[in-house]
Amino acid sequence: MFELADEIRSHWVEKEHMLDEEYRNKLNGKIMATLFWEPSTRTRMSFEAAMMHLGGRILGGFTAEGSSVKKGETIADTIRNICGYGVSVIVMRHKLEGAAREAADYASEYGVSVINGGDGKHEHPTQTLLDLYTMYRKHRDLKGKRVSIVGDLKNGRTPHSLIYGLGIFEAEITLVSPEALKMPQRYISNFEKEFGTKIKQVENLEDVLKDSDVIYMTRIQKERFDSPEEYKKVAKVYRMTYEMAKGMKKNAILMHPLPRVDEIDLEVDKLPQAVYFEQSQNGWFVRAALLEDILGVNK
Amino acid sequence: MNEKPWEKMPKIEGGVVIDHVPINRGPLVYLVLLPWLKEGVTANIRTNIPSKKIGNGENYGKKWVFKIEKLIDDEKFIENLALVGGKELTLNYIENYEVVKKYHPELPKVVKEGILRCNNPYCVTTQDHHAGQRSEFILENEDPLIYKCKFCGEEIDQEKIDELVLEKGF
Repeated sequence: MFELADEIRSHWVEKEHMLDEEYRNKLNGKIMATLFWEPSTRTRMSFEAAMMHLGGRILGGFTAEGSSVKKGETIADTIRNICGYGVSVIVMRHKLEGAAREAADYASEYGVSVINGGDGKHEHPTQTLLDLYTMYRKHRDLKGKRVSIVGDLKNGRTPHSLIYGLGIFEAEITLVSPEALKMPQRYISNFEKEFGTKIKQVENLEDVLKDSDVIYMTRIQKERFDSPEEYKKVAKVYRMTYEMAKGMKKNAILMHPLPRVDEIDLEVDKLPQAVYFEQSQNGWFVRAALLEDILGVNK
Repeated sequence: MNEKPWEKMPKIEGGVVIDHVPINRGPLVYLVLLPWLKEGVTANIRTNIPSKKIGNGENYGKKWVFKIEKLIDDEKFIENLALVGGKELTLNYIENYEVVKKYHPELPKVVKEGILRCNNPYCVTTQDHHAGQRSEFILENEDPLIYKCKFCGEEIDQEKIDELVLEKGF
């Protein structure tokens, strides 16, 4: 997948803001539906950008508010309708965990693939693909690299998928979170069972600052707290200042899935370690690779 | 302790004997059996019988025994027994007063449309009624018992399974 993303990148013509002739019609005529029951900026737009750059088209405009979902329509029925319109792939985000799996079971009857663009607090697999791609571009081999994941590891779906991806590449993982935002044990148990290695857990960001090859900051997920009081208790627990970021290893990288609130000071953006905008841009290359892999000419 | 009190239970001509049910599992097995009892099936249930098999090493434990005068081989019934009855539970099928088949029901690898329900309020199976009818749980670990929701990955342990059975009440 990463090699395919690199391949697509090599066909990018920067001054024209488009792919070259060989690549710009790869998915000509194919339609991707975007079904986002929850808001999204990067995931939705980078998928749409990827599809358009490859010559495909978008069936968009769906929102939970303005659709039959509001009238109580089930995911299965929504998916069967959309599949009937001749789409080749569906990208979806939903607040319910397991929603993409439910959708995929019905879409498969039409030969349509479903890509999970995030399901509640559960998983966000394509974010993990772009995160790993960003690490791969910097470090190439991730084996033994120290990756510290910081912040809301309980409610954030991104870290739940990320540790699994890092396990495949044999990176050394440290989780940094306060007690109240620790990653649910089931994700850690599954990881340890799958990969046979332990995950380290600490509470202080300072403990990992100097030794990490990757520091992955995350936002405290305000919208997933039961009360504003609960959120306030942990709201500003980690903040990467300019001084702190300067203390990172020279060749280390500082990542964030974005949006950030105040986890990373704006001045940090100037440092070479700050790669979060490049990480975001990698999103469309990786998602283009995924779309081509699913829908490419030989499929 | 030399006597075997359960032998004093009258033999049945045909049906099924559920044996070696630990006493803390007995009431749950009773609930699983309840639909058949409601239909009028005759059963002899004896509680708190000393049993070495249930015991811990040298000491006797206590078990419940259910002698049911009907051959119940319904798949869901056996699945539910395995889920709540404990690993020592034995099923004996009786024909003409003789045991014709004896086994420990195995924990199902997958539980579909059964007594399990996902405990995660944000799981698609708990809020989307269509998905709710297709809930599915995968056996993750036998001891301690853990099932995992196919959709959201939420784990269900023995305590939660017991709660669901008590809540359902049959």
